[in-house]
Amino acid sequence: MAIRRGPTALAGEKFKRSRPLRRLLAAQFGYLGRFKKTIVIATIFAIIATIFSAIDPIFLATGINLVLVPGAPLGAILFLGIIYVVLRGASWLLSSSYTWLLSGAQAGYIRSLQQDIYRKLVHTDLSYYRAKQSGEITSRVTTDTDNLAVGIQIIIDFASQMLLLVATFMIMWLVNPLIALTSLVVVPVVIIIVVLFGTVGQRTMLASQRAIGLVSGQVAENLSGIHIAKAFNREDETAATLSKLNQESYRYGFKFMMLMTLMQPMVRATGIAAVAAVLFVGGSLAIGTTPLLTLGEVFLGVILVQRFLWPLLTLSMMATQFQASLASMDRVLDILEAKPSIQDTETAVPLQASSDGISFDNVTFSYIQGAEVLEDVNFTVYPGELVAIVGHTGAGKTTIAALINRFYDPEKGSIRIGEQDLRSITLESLHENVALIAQEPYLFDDTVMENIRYGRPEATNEEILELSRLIGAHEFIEVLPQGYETKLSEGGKNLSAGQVQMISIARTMLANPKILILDEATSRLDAYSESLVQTAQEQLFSNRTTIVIAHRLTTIANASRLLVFENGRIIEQGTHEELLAMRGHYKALYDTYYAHQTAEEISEEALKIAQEELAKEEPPKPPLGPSMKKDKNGG
Amino acid sequence: MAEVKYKSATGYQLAALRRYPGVTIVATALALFASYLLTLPAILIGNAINILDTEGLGFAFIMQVWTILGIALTLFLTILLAGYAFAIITLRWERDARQEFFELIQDNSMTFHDQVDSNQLLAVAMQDVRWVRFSLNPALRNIISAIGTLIIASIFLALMDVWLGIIVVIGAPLYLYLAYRYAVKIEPVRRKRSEQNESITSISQEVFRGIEVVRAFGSEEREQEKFNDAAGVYEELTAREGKLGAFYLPTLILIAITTIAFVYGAYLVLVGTWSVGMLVSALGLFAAIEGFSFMLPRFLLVIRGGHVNAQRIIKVLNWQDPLEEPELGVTEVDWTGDIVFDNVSFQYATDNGHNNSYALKNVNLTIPSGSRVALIGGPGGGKSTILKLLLRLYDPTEGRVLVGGIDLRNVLTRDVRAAVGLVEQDIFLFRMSVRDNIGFGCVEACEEEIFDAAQKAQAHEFIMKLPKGYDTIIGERGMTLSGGQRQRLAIARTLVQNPKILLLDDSVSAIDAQTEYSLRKALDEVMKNRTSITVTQRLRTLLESDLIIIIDKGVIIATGTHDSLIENSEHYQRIFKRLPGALPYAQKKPGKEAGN
Repeated sequence: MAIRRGPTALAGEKFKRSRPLRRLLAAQFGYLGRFKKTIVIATIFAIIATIFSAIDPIFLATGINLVLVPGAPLGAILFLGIIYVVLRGASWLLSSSYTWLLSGAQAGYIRSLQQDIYRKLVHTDLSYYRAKQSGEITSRVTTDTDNLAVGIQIIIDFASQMLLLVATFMIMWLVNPLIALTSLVVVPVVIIIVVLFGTVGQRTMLASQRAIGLVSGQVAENLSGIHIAKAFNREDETAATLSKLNQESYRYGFKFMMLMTLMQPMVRATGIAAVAAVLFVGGSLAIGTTPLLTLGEVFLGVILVQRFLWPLLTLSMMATQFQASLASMDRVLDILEAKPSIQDTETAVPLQASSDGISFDNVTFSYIQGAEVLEDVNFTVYPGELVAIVGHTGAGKTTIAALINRFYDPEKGSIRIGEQDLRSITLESLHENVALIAQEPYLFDDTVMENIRYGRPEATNEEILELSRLIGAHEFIEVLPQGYETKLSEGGKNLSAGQVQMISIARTMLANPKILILDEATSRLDAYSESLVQTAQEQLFSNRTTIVIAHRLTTIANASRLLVFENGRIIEQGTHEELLAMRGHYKALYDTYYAHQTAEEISEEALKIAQEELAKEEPPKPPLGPSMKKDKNGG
Repeated sequence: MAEVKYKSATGYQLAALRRYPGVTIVATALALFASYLLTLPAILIGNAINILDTEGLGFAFIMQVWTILGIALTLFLTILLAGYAFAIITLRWERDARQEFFELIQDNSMTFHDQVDSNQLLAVAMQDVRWVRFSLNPALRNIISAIGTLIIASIFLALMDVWLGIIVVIGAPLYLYLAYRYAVKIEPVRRKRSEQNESITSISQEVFRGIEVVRAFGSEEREQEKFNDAAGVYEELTAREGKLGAFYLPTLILIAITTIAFVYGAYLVLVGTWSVGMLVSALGLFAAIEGFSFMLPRFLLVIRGGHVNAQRIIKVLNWQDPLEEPELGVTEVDWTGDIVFDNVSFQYATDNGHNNSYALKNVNLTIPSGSRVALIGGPGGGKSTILKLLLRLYDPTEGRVLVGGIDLRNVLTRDVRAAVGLVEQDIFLFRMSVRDNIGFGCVEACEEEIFDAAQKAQAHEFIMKLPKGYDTIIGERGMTLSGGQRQRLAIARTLVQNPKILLLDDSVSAIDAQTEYSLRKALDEVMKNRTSITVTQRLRTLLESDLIIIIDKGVIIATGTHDSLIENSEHYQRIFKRLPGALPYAQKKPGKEAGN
């Protein structure tokens, strides 16, 4: 377990917590579970080892006193030597065993925490994901669990260091109170160090981290825009920008390092100065007609004072780390104690084979209270019907898709499949039967084959190939460097947006769901591929309940009915021809979004309608999905 | 280009020291002097005890105390100075190594960037370079001090007694050997553990990013199992590392030697060979050695690890680029001349070298000067590869790409890219102001060109509506642009660059009528007076092209104008009919239908 020791620990950040100390400590130990016994034994070992090492110099000092008496028996010296070696050997064995036992327990502790947190996160409400970045969430699983394991160790180490400190001081006191008091000269230096590193150190460290962060961010952006830098011959300029940031980070890094470097000579020099002080005091006491000290005791004082400084410093370093582990526990508890609002009720049943068709009954929904995205929405999609939803950006179309997948529950009203309310269906069977192809397709860093197989893990390679052929994906997959075995990275950076979408379509079609929701699923396909996908869809899913959020003329043409949304309400519905004939909202939408997809000059009139319509568009809202797409494109 | 830049990882790891040999020698000397100062008090304490034993408290004793205090002060300054010298050379190296690394990979061709994950490159640039520096400072710096102390203390001990000297001469190397063995044993486990930690991070991050997909397919359990497996391996490695590190054998050697020295020294005092002060000195020297002993293994580990980090860095730096720059590029290229693909085949390289598929196969093509060309075909057919070859982001695997009769291989990439402009499909904009994004291609200030280009690209109007107009930073919170807006910014960017040949990978996203209208005007503007090659779905672009090229699976299927293709090419008819709104244009000319 990597414990951060040394000055950086002193410069660590201060944390805020929302739970009382007692609760956090109780949770931290409560989680030890089956490792409690091991930890207790390990702690006992650590404490005995500490006691042994605190007292071992006494035997050396006794030896020195002994040899000062002329004619002392060699046997006695030998005996002292044996005690010394046994004590130190035992101390080594015990503290090594302590580490051995503890590291096993820590590893297990981390694992059980990691698994619990992960389980909770995978099932937690999507609203949690909307509010946080994926890197931040990931650190709950990695950094925080490590911090917690270190926290356990810190508590034990704190106890043994404290014991060492007290024992050392007590021995010195027993030797002579003046010696003990002299050793306190190191205290001001320790205070100076702690204050210096806690203030200036922390500031410099943060500044240096920020500077390094800027360098890292610049490198990352330059790497993702490398093709543009090349296309525009801007390599020299990007290098110059980086060089400036790099120099800045060097400046702060140097400051910080000098500060850190300062600590070592301070500690060492103080240690030696303290030795001089104890030697002087001890020497003064050891001489005279009635010496208060033996020479062996002077030696003991000199050895012990050097042991005084480190535990003191270590203790102050632990404070910050202990704080960090408490803060981690606090964040982890936020997750572990959260009650997901979307989970199976006790009475939930699987979706019945006979249930089909979707109906929205007075559904109202908002992501942020007060800002309704859907208001009082009523509609029914009959079994086997294909219905298209049209409307401006921000009209609430994507939210419909999210609600049918039960990513969220409606605030008011209910959604049913057949006669079953979504809330009474087990999530597992719901997701087995309903499939969504999202607007922003997401692929995993795995092979193309495995990405498609994600839809149905037991599918054979042949089935996947066959399906890919059918939807026209086979052509481009085949010519990828390693065909279906090509490993995608960074969400498929070497594929075009259309190819990524094709793979996500294949994945969903493979899942073979009963109900299909397509959220602008073909928006990034070229028209030719789109038509192939549509043909495949007709072949495979012709009689399935389907909701399409439409963006292209061709999609609308295939729908049996259209629902026109505006500001979260359905304002018109009917077939394409009926709606056009009404010359209402749909006609305006049609002119704005679909009619111009031909080669004709856009007429003045159409342009005017479009401008008016677009003025109605809601300002863009935060995206539905987790707001943590890799935002490297800057916009 | 064939020479390897860095031969050995060790050389790379020590580059900082080799760069400033003078400073390195002074810094090392200072560090060793500090070690000497650290051991000296042990001798002086012994002297002081002797003085107490024989003369009692007096001037001589006080002198010893003052000398020790003086040593404390000198030591402080010496360590500080050594630290300063080490900080300068190592941090400067870190800064420059990072810069060098970035500039080198930036110059590598796109083949490199296709193959290597950019996150991994970032990690090498930031973390690995940093750990190499760590391995010198603090690790090597502290090891010099530790070994210095060990050697100097050994010399003092040997001077005090021959036998003690012999024991130490045997013990010290054994101690160092065992410490090294310890580090060697743990290092690979530690590395594996940190790799496993990375993989846990990426497993979780992937799932959290794609949580909707996970939910939608109900695969929570499957993901949990995957994670549990990874967490299990991590537990195993963490425990193994901790357990391997628990029993640090070298300490036993130190204990043994100290005890022997104690008993033997006491014996020497008893027989009168040693004074009691010498015994105290000897014990003090062992205490000094122990003071360093606890941190030796930790720093040895960092040095071992730094070597592996250096290996990772030089592996990237030594990458051999298949795209070679000509020594003296041909500068007199007639960029307005014909573009010729002469039997061009192209394969994308893969990191393991197995690639059986061709992105382009035996492509022969002539694009007359000044023409408007449209490229169409299925996904993965090779359209964008043609654009990339013209930008010389890659060189053809076989065959030649010629402009005005000159093979692009003989032209510096810099000159190619000054003459050829690109508007890509997924527009990449930098996190800078709108102004800087449009002026990306300017070398010097070009205020006027930027406004002019923005106007021509139909972008001026919407830019003025942004919160800070041209100074709006793209990508700052909430500052998102629509696809059509991004595309027009990219067109403006290319207009500023004013290329002779324009490459355009048109977006396929559906847009509203107003945007479509603006885009059409912007495209007309950007295509004026230059050869343009457009990958497109846009009906109008097809109809207005001088030449349409259909490419599928890397092979050219047909070329011609719309009128000739609609008549002769079944493939074209098939594609064209599927374009939205194409039906009125998909008719063959009346009269010729009879033949069918």
